[in-house]
Amino acid sequence: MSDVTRILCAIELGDPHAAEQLLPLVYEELRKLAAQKMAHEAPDQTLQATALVHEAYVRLVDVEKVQQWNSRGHFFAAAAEAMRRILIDRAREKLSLKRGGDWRRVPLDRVDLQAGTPPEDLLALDEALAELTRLDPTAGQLVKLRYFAGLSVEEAADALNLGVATAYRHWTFARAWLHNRVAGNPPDSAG
Amino acid sequence: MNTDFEKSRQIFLAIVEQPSTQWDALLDEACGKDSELHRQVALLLKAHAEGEGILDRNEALKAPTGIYESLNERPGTVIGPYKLLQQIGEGGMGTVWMAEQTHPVQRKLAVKLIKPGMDSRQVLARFEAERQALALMDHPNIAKVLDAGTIGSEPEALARDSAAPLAHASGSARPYFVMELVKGVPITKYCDEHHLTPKQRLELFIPVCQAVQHAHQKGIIHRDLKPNNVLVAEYDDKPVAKVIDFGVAKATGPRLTDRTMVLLYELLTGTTPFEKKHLQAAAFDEVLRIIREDDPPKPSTRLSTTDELPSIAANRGLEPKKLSGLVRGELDWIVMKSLEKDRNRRYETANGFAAEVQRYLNDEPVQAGPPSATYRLRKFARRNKRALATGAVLFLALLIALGAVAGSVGWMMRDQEARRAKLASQLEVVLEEVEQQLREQNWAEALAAARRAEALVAGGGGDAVLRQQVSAALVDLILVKDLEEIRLNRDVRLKRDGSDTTPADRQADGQYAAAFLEYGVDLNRLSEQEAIRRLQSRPHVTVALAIALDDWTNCRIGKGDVAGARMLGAVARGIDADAWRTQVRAAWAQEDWKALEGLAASPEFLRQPPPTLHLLGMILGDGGKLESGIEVLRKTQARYPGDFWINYHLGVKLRVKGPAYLEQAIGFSRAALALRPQSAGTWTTLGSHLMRQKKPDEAITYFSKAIELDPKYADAHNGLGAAFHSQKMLDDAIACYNKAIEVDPKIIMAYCNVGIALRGQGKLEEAVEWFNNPKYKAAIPGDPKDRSYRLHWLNNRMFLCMTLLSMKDHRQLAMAGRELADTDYQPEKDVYEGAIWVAKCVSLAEKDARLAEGQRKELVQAYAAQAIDILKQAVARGYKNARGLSKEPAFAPLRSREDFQKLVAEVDAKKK
Repeated sequence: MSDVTRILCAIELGDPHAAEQLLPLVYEELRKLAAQKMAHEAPDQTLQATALVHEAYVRLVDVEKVQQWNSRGHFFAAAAEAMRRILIDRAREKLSLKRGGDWRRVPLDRVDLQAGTPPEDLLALDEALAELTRLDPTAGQLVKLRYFAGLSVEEAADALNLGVATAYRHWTFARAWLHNRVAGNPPDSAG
Repeated sequence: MNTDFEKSRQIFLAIVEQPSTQWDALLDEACGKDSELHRQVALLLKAHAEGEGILDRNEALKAPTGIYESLNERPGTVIGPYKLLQQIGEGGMGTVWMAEQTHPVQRKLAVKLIKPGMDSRQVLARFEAERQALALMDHPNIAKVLDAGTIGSEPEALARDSAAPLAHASGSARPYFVMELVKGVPITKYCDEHHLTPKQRLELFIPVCQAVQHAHQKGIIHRDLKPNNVLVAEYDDKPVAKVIDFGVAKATGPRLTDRTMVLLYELLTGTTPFEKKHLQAAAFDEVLRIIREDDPPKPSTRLSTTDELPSIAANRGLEPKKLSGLVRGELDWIVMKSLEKDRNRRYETANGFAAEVQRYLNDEPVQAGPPSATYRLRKFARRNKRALATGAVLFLALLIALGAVAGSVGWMMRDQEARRAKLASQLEVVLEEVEQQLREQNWAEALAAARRAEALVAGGGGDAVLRQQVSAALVDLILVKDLEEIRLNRDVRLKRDGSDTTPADRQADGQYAAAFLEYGVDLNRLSEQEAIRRLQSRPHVTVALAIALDDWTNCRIGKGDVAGARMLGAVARGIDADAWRTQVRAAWAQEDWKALEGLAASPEFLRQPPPTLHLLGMILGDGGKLESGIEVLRKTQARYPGDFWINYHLGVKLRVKGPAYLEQAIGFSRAALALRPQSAGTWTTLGSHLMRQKKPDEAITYFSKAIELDPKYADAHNGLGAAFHSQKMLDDAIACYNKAIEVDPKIIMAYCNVGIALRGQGKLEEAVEWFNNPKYKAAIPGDPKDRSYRLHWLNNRMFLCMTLLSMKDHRQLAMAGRELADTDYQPEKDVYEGAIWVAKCVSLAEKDARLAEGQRKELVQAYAAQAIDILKQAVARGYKNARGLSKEPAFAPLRSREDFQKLVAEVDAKKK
């Protein structure tokens, strides 16, 4: 049984410390996977972060043994968090590069950023997402699963143990809230 | 959740589901006079309506380019005199480029650039030491290292121009190697593409082992041996394998012997697509599964799935069945042997490995005798161990000196001081590594580092304090290594019934005592407190010492020295801070089996080293907790499948558990044997498993092998005799038993067996003589009061009685029967047994035609009276089976007698 599968089983069996062992493992695997991809693909190619998460899942989890969505949810929660950290780290780095923070780093023409996700936006989103998670943990989790682990609303609903309709409501709200927040509108007085 | 937030959320969700034309009205209605709430929900609705939200822009979320550092070397980059042409490889450590040299000669070569981040001070120091050694390697099967250096260590070397000298972005030095360019393909790929047979594969592989050995002799470990690092190119139409990429891999990689093994395994079975970290474990499992033979092939077993076999086999030029057979055969031994957890031998195995494979190739494939080959190998390694180890150290010292000389003699003269300083700083770095390895409890690595430090000291590095530090570390680590070697090499001897010591455990006990004595701690004389105090003074290695003490404890238990074992346990407890081990040792001291079982179930378990777990399993097993003991050994085996002792004792304990577990017992014993094919005791153990399985044919092979390995091994001779015996080859059997007695006059089972065999041959008089031979009685171990003594004596008399019965010799039979009853120590059942034999004399005498009428009557009367007398004794000692008395056919002639009836009535009454 793989380490991750073992941990997932431990979570199912109620081991309170098992979940925290998951993140570092998944994080490592994602970094490794990404590195491998980068080595094999042309430098200007972009990486699909969510595809990476799914590949990590296939590699780390004995699918035959883990069919219940409950433990898959734990995996994707960890994976989403791991991917978030990786992407945010990268975004920070890119940003400091742009500002000339470290001129010896990789030249800018090689870090062709994906048009839709400038690092500023990513960092802003992350900040907003942190706030949303504080105010509404379920909505925050849902966004993380969708955005960083590439789950569909239905899949995320399963992972979070929500009804699909509820999940869509959370998603609708979270989408609007984050959009509003990142667009620069001040938080509501309570936020 | 914040109430305002929640309120705005609910209103938003309620409104958003309605047609947008109604929103404004609904909003006014829901928020009333709360203008702030109104504003918030309005913003949310607006955001919802707009298509281009932050999340929308990332429908197919893509990571920015280069989650990973993309390096800025590219074709055209110039490094020293080399110009990169194209990238030809990528590994964990760096990238490999085909490069061009124009000056002084024009040629193509391979340049390996170490990745940034691998540039810690330690790595660089090691790199410094190794680059010189690497340059000295000269072997046809090693890609020659032509040059090495570092780039970009000076800030001014940095430039933004891609054609300029390259530097790691962070500005620190990046080492690079320049190597011979091998235009080959990975060895596994080559073999498959050219449809090589296993034999051809192995022939290609042998030079690889020799190359690795060559490197070892120069103190260089590859650390990342894998198919991609062994390239095959054709020179003059002949394939030649070359090992590339020496000496630059991570120090934390798996051990070399494992690597070599995995490589061989891949080569033969064509399994490559593993993750590196899983590779070793997976191959390991595969090998074990194949060897054990008891597990039915599972779909995942690569060599047994029918749909995979043909293609693999086609590539290997063999029929599927034959390939499977080949891999299952002798090679398993070689592979398992190479898996032995003997870190200290890793510098010596590569060549031995090659020799082994060569032997395999030379021998008949099926009848090849790897164990004896391994035995020879082992002996060779043992003979040369010290020489090899010392050689390596000297060589390193020489190298360092030579490295300086080679540069320039003048330079050396001028810069003596600088050289000293350099050595000293290198020494400091190496010592730091020693410290770190010690902290991480990597004893073998720490020893290797300490030896490197010793070499630096020998080359003139360091001041008195550092030298002192080096020699202290060496003394400690050599003790640790010696102790580990005792465990790895100590012998197996079957524990014989009735004997409470085994010679092997006695020997190991002596070895452990001697090792500690040499270290200056005489554990046989010192008080517990004093021993603890002294061992505690070496804080770096106390954990290793305590673990070794656990194994020593195990030996003392095996030797029957419980007090001595407890003393060692107390010392181990005194010096080892580990909570789990302390609890185990304490619970054992108090014989608290429940606590021990609890500890065995704790999650800490898996973090513990094999010797302690082995001890725990044995303590439980011997303490009447066979189930728990077996469970501990099983779990340990799953964690350390390559540990000989765990497999061995699991085999033994499972056999003890019962016939239903014999199959499993054999499986583990086979694994143990594969790990130590030179152990006569293990061959014998398996032989006796097989005897129990009623497979004397097979058992004969095993016992014979044991005798071949150790001609003085009495149990193996006895076992072989028993195997012949059950094949009705009685002459051979008797010869074996006699041989057993000759080499060990105390082997009681062999005595009994000789008598039984003589009887089987119809040599009844000889048999009787044998059973009455005083030598036999003298060989029974222990004291007549002991249970085991009585059992052996009973055995002897019973077989004697049976022989005499066949001879119809009632006089002697009555004597023997009386003897059975005639000691103060025989329990009532044995006494009763004696009565039966005497009673049988009654009918024998009645039918004895040689007797005169009067004499016959007299004898019959006498025997009957004697039998009843003995029965009375039995009853007096507690015999109370009235039914047995009245049913036993031997007593038929007695039943009419008044005294017999009275006795039966007496027993009956007692019962009520």
